[in-house]
Amino acid sequence: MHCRNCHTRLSAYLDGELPEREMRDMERHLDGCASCRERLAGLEALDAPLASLSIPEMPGDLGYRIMARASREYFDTPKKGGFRVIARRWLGSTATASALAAGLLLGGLLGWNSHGNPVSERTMMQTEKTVFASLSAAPGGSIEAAVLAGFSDGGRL
Amino acid sequence: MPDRSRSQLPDEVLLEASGNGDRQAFGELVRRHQSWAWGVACRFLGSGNDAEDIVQAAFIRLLGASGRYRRTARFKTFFHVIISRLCLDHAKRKKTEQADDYPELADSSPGQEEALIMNQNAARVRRALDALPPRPRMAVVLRYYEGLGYDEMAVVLETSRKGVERLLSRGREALRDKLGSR
Ligand SMILES: [Zn+2]
Repeated sequence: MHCRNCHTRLSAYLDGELPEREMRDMERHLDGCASCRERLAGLEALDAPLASLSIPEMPGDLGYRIMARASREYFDTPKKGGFRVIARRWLGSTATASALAAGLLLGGLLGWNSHGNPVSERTMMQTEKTVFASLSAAPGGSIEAAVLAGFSDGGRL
Repeated sequence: MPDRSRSQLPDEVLLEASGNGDRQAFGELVRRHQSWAWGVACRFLGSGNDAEDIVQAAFIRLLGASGRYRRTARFKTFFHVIISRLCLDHAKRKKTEQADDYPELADSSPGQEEALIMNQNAARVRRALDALPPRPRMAVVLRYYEGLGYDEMAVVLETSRKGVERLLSRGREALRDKLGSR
């Protein structure tokens, strides 16, 4: 192994995050190379200064403020595009989502939103499709796939 | 959901309940996770004021994304993704603002933050961290203060294991040069 290759792997070596074989290659090289050992020691020596970094104390009312904002922006706000909310807006609070779906299937229902404007059947179908698609979205096996599946809706969290 | 049971439920279940409008479930998540979230934001940003905005925004986004959460992902990984994205976006915005409007501001606004830093040594570390580009800086924060492994860091930083290796290596080399160890 050349010193240059060793340098690029030192950090991962320090963390024990290289594949086993590369770990062994690194050990062999470090055994015989004082300059790379010194470089490694330089990285190890970062532990102490990094541990000395202090942070401001967390404001005591931070949790309270988060909850207040959550109420304002989430809990007390109707969910945009939420199936039940839309159904309620269009049909009144007694109508169920399934009644709406049945109406859509029969094709005989023209929706009206709370401002009295007609809502096209196409819009309603699209909304329904989105809602069901998001319900059935299934992630792959890995954490990465699962997390990314979680974020694929418009790409923003 | 009965009150007492919430404190015993796993994060993943609480998140789903929160998304369904259960305020107390959300309150329990806030109670459990605000402190480390604060730590990540402060260590990355170096300022309590900015950190508070980020932590608040992160919890709100968490709620907004709760419907898209799948239990196959660890809650903490999920939340780390949210916080680090917000931090990185913030750093990008700040850099643009500074480049556009306040070219002098980059290194000269210690004031309040400086008062919060315990000693000169810590201030040196702070400056060294601030001098890192955002992604290597976040890699250092996640590794040193959150103790994440490379696989989880790869998810959080939206890169590969190799990418994590490079980011951390770059961050450490720069820190070593700045902090003058060896
Ligand atoms: Zn060497």
